[in-house]
Amino acid sequence: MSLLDLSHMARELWVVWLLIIFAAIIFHAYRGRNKDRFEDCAQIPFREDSEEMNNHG
Amino acid sequence: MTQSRAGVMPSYNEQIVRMFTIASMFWGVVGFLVGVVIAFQLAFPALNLGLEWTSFGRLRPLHTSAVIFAFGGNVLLGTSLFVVQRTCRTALFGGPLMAEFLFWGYQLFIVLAASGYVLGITGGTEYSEPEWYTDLWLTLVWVVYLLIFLGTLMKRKEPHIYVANWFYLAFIVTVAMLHIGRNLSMPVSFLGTKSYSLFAGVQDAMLQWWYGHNAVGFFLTAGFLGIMYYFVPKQANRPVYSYRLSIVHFWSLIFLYIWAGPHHLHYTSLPDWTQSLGMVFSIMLWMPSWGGMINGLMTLSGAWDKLRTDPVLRFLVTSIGFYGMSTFEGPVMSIKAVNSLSHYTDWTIGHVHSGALGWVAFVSFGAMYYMVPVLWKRERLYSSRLVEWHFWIATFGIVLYIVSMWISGIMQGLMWRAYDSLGFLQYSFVETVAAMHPYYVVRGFGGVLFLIGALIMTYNLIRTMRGDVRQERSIGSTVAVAQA
Repeated sequence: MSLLDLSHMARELWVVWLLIIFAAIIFHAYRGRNKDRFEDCAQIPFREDSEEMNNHG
Repeated sequence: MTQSRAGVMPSYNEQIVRMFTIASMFWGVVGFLVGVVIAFQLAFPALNLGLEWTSFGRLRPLHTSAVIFAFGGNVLLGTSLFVVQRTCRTALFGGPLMAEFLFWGYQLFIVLAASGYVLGITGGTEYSEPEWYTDLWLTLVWVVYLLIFLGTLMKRKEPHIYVANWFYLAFIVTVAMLHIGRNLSMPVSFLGTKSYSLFAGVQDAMLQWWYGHNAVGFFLTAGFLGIMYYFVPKQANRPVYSYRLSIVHFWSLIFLYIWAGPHHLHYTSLPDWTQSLGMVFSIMLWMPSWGGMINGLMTLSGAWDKLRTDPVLRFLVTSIGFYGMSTFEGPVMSIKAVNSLSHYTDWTIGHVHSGALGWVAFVSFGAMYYMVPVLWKRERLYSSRLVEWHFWIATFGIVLYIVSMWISGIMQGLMWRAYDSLGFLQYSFVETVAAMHPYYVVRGFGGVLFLIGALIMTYNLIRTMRGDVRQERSIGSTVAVAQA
């Protein structure tokens, strides 16, 4: 099997590759280790306020 | 936040967001008004006035472009610049001049497009009607928008890019790709307005609905989800229910939406497998649809009582409900068997408006009610009572609109496919048109209510900008006590 055939076959399986990437994203999002980090990210919209108070007195 | 950082912080460019907010109010009223006019033109054809410039065919793209690109576009541009500065805690990249170019450039695009429609200058393809010179101008304006947004992200003080910005960025990048792809065309002459698409036949049709459906997916959905992920937590004063779910929501939407376009071309000369592919991906869209709805609604968990006292939050939460409903209905309609009944009927119009009025417009109203007091440094809105009036009048208008279009559309579909005992079609086309007349009148009336709501909002926001505060009883507990 030439490299060309192999790349052809790999392209036909595009939906599998995308699914693997998507599964990796879900794993990344729900990994226990990342829990605190993402909970902290959810607070970002509320951080500006203290900043603003400083700006506008 | 440390003092030193506050000291060197450049202040946000809020002037540009104020301009976009005022433009949104203006174009919203214009777009809804033209919608009401064409709704009554369908019920009473005499309203076409016998003039080419005021005929339904020319005013209809004026309505769709005014509400989607003028109202929706200004809301998206304004809120995105508001959100990106605050969640990155940095001023806009490119300074005030670049931002002002974006604002006036975008308004010029709207005027160029709209004047073209009325004068009969049109590419003729739905939602991408502007001719080549307007397309080129928008391309330039959009690149500036992308530069401002990306530049601001790159100089952010906050290490993580908040999820609302992901949705906004997906909206900006994908709309650029769609706009350029769909509008590859050749002008007939250098000074003339007419151009022809580079594509023909079924390829052109597929390209059109790749564009058209993803305009829904990335303009009317991804962009407004950016609004949801910032303004719902802010107005409810609690973080989003699950930030992890928002990541999955984002990527599932990105992976799936781009494939759903072929469901606009069921039972056409488009290859059968492509139709089925579009159908399957449309049904998979239930995943981001419900993931997003749950995430938005559950943000309220533990604070549902706020809905009773805060009509702005009510707009935002109702919009999420409509988002869930219309994105549930859409995949159902993409199923071929359902589509054979619903396609080309008013059911589609009802579906689109449950999304456009209930989701897009309501979430925009909520964001505008939130932003105006913040941007003009007012304690609160001029009147919460008027927000409540706006909410109920507009909601009643939407209900009239979508229910009448559901009934009219399904009736229309059933009449088209009815056969008599000899195998002849039972109804002529004009009989189906006559049967729809009462529903068209109801729909027009629903539109009038929606327009009245928008006028109330405009009045309320202008009074807020001027710094007026209406003396009124507050909504909620005190009233309940007084009535008890």
